[in-house]
Amino acid sequence: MIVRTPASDALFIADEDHRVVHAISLPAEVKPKRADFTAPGAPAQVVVVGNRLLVTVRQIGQGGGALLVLDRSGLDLKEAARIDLPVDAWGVSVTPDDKIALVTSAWSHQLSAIDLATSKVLWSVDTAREPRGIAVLPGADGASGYRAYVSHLVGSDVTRVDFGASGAPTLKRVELPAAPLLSPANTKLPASLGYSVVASPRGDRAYFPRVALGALGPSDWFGVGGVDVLSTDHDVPRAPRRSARATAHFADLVSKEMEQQSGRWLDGANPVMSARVALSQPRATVYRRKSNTLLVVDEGRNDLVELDALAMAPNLVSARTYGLSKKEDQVLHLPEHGAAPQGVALSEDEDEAYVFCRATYDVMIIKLSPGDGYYSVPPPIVVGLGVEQDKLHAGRALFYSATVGDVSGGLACAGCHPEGRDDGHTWHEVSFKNGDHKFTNFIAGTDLSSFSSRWGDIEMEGTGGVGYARQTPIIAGRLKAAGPYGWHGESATLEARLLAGFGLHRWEGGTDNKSMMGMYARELLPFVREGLTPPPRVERALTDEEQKGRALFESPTTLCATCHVPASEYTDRNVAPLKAFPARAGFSEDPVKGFKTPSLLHVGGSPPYLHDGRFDTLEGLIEYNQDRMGKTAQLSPDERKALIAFLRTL
Amino acid sequence: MKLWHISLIAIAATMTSRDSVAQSDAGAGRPTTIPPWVEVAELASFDAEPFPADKSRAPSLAEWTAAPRVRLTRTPQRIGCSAKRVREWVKIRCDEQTAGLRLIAGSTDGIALWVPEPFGDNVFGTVGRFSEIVFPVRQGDQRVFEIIRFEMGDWEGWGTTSTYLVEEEWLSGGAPQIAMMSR
Repeated sequence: MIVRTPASDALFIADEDHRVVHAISLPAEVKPKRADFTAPGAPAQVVVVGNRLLVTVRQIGQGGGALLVLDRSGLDLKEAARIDLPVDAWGVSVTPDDKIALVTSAWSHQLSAIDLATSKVLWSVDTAREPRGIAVLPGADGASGYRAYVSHLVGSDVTRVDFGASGAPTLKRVELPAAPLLSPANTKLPASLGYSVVASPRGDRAYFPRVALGALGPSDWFGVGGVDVLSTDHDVPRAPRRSARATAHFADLVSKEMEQQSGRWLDGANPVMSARVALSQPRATVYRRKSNTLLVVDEGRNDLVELDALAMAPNLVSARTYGLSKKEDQVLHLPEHGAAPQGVALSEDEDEAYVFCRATYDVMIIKLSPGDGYYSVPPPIVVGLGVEQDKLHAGRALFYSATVGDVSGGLACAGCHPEGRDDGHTWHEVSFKNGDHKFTNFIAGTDLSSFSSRWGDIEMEGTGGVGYARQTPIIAGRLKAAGPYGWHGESATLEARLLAGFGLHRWEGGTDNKSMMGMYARELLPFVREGLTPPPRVERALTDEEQKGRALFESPTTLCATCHVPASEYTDRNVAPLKAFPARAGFSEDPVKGFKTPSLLHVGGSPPYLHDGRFDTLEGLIEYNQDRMGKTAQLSPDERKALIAFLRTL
Repeated sequence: MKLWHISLIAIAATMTSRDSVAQSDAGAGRPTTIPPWVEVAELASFDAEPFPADKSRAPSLAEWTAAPRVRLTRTPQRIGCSAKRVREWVKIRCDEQTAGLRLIAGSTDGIALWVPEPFGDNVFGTVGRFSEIVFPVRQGDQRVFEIIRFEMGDWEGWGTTSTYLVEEEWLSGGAPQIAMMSR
């Protein structure tokens, strides 16, 4: 998203919201020059190759994505080539010899290779959902060719691809458990927000910043954001799994206090150690060679965090945190500079970091610590991008912020709805009772030992599991209607849903500051309706199979379109009783049987399915639906295939 | 009873006898000896000598006493801990007041953890006045230990805080590594 030129004379920044590539001259501290290049679509990522820039563009018009090759002269950019790619082109990385570029296409889950000498696409292959960051390395064990690791926004496994200058690539899914040292025993946690990956200089390690959903900590209702490290020699995780039963020896007086649950703060009483740095929304990362550290920008907390890259689990050991935000308005208490950092680049001497902040449209320059020990960090320097604030300014900042206490409990809207999409997770909506205090919250997992070790016994509603299942829906492009919202249609309006969300998405319920919450909801509302870009859809004629599927969808024999009304985002917004499946393992039986018809817009790219996320594929949903929703039991295999093909076009 | 239980008891027994020596020293009015910190760069690396292929018994107290200090792959600055090696066995001793030790992940085979109990009336002055972790280093290892210290606070009196991690790793095809890091 931000890159420095090898000659250190300029920074280039991909600005999706304004469809512009910004250029800033270096050094930027004193009167930098600026120039803008207007892109043909939203530019996502940018890299420098020699005197050229490579820029991914998510979608051009109603068509596919592209990789732009831009010639550079000073700050001026000129399009030299445009290479068509699968829609939602996002991440880009180049082989060490600068011959081949790899590009991820997020929504269409494709990985493409481009020969930079000929500007031809060598291949495009299907990968798992939401591929994002790419780290390219030389071939393993001195073999010819290359290998690359790809992060995914959704899920804990990552992708490895081996490829050469010609021929087909080989793809492999690599298991990389999220935060294994902070996981409940014998549990492989899901991950989210895997925007980026970076390799060590020797190529023996690959670092994946992301959130481990359900990782344990004293009050981490959503999990823990950190960095998972892959040893690339054998594609094995560097951190071992936490022992199911820790072996410990404590002094007697400590052991006795632990047994009494006296309320003392006792690291060690908790079966899981706490992270030293808990990131909320890790977004981008670079490797700082001179200190063997990782610099990770935390979009939610407005921080740049420097982590030990040699540790098995970098966020478990000591780290440095550089605050990015500057000034605060007196009404909404939002930063005037340095909000929602999403990209980071280093100076040539690695003593400065340049951080692009998306909510305030500025670059913050941070003087980095020279080494170990105490270091007084000078305040960051602000370099504006010349972008005027718009009416969505405050809502945008609130959407990304995990630090506005009335809105977020440590994870922002963007934490579960990255880019307005979804995290692929099914959350637990739980009503708790702790003494006289009752509250209803979302939590990511089922292990409450961290909570109870700190807060004592906690009662909760429901039996057979922990809370009711709530799959995260996509929100971008699905919020035009006045209401109702919520899986049970319990919020009459979008504003009411936002206010309910302020209380649900945290630990211990919402705050009592109703007037501020109302003000925040009214700022957030226009942003979530107008400021989020829906996943791209390529305009094209339906295939014969898709047309057959549409006819089935609209047919009175299936009744699909009766509730999923095409004219209103494929929903009638009514609450209808659902012939329920038994509760999923780990969840309680929801006593409320009426569910609001969800929108089917973008349904093909947003598994899992059903309100409780029990189906990983549309095939599974249709296979087991029978006649629970509409009537699909009578459909032949070909008809089901056609119906699914049509659903994927929505 | 598992092997590590036996080892733990064995180490505990040796530590108790050492502890009683320290107690008698203290009773005689002499200051408790704290070994001076040795600059780790001057020490031989813990893996300077090849590791034996066969398993051996845990070292005796005499063997530990005679063993020279070694340098780990990484240690933080200003840390009051030191390491020794005998055959494939490594001992990390921290002369800092310690509340407890824990093996977070990895094999329990052969490990021993020790934190001494208080003596005399000065409970807080003598409890956990040092700590020791003993473990064998063998191919395939991936262990993580946690060292937890006392922390004095205002409103809750004393508490505990996790202070160091010890990572031991010997992956296939690689060299053994032992890193100690501040939390």
